Amino acid sequence: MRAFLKIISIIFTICILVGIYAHADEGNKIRIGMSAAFSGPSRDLGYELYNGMNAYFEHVNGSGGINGNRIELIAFDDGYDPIPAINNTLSLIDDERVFLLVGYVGTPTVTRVLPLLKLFENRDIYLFFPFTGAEPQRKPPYDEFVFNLRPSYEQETAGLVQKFTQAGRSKIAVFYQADAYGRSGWDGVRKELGKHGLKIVGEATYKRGEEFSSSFDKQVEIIKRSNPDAVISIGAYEASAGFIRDAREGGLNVPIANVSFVGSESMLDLLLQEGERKGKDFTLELINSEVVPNFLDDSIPAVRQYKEIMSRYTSKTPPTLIYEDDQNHFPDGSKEEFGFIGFEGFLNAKLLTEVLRRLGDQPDKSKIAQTVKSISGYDIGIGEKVSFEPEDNQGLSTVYFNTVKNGRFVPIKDWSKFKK
Amino acid sequence: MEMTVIDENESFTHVALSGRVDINSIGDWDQKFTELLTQRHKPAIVDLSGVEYMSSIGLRMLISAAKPLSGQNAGMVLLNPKPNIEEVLRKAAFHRIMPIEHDFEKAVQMTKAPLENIS
Repeated sequence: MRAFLKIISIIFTICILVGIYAHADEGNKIRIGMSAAFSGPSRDLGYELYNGMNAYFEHVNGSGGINGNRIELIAFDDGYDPIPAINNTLSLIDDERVFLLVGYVGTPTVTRVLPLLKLFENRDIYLFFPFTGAEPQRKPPYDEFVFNLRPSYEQETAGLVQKFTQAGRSKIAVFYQADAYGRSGWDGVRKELGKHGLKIVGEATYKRGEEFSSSFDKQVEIIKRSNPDAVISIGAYEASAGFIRDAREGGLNVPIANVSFVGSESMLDLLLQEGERKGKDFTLELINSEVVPNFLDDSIPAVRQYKEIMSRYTSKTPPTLIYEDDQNHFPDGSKEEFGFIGFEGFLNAKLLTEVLRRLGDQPDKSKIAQTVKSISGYDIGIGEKVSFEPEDNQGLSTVYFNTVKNGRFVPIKDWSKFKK
Repeated sequence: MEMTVIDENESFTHVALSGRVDINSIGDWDQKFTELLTQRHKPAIVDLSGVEYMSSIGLRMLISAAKPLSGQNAGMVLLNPKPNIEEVLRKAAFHRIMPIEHDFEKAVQMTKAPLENIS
């Protein structure tokens, strides 16, 4: 009997050790998984977020890792398409056996992945800091599986509506992507206008995947008929830039605002190039809401750290993610060295590193949620402190507003220029 | 697991899966399944009535075939899964991408319907 108990005890010990080994990952690596757009008309979003995150992880690994463990970021391309996002997620969980998921890009993709997190809840699969401000991952039944750093689209659109109405612009139209992302932003505008006793005066949609070369004349015509004081655009950078181009060409010259998902620098690049071709300024009356401070503001400690670490960043986007027609984008790992999305990725990685540090040298998936919830008043270097609450899975709440000046996005300090 | 081709007509491919669909049994069936469905460029009816158990590898097999089919503007209908399998499929929200049906004639009608934009 004693021998039997001893064998049972040994087996039990082995099981525990195997369990710990599985949690800490082989070879002192913490493997984390990302699915994002690295192809198609939204590919800049994936590349920029990836490089911002990976630069910080490279810095951490170069400094000895986290409690002796190195971080390995495994990224798969979903092309901003829900079906590959589901497939990638199953592959990251089953084949790559990642410790957690991070940096997913897009509302239509993330909302399709959320049910998988719920399905596998006994396996403690958590998604960190998706690049979307949509509501589904902020509400039951999925909020307990997702941690957001960025504010929501409701907060971004509410801020824009408040600023516009304060500037005497109460007739607001919406141009949006015809999917879960666009509807999420549209709903945010509708709700905030409702608080002011107002309604959306006009709306037009486009199909996800439209390129800059597409014509948006029909949408411009529809919105022009509503005679708006301002337009809020809930789109991706190629379509949003195309809409702005056609709006200005079509005589719709009211302020046009975009939310953070648009990919501000990529949108601006397209408009600047178009302006050069046509000898016209397409960057007038533009407002972009952002969920991180302006990356040009070197008075912010995290901005200085971001630029310093990016300047030493040597990792390239994984070769499997570089496509033939991408040569002009990422021969050196990044089209633009700095940007809002890259900075957001950097902050995501910085906070995730703190979570992993608090999990100790043998990180255990089952302790992830309680560890994140232990973060309160954490200084990430942008002024606003990061806190998670038992019933709140979002770390930051401040929305920033920028406009274009001399070909760059700069913070709006005075809204009087946008007064009607 | 096993896969049986029931019908390959002008309008759709009808195939049945059976047994346990998991890592131990899948072998190269996932590749064969995707090849069969996508090479024909036709909508598919996948009879799941004989499937006893489906792990995440089975979900991947279905979604892997759904993507190229959607690119061909051809849908996939899942026919007659057992309650335990249907519960997994619905929890994973797969029914929003590939409808679940228990009546063969209705499944045939569904293959004729245009694909909804997946958002």
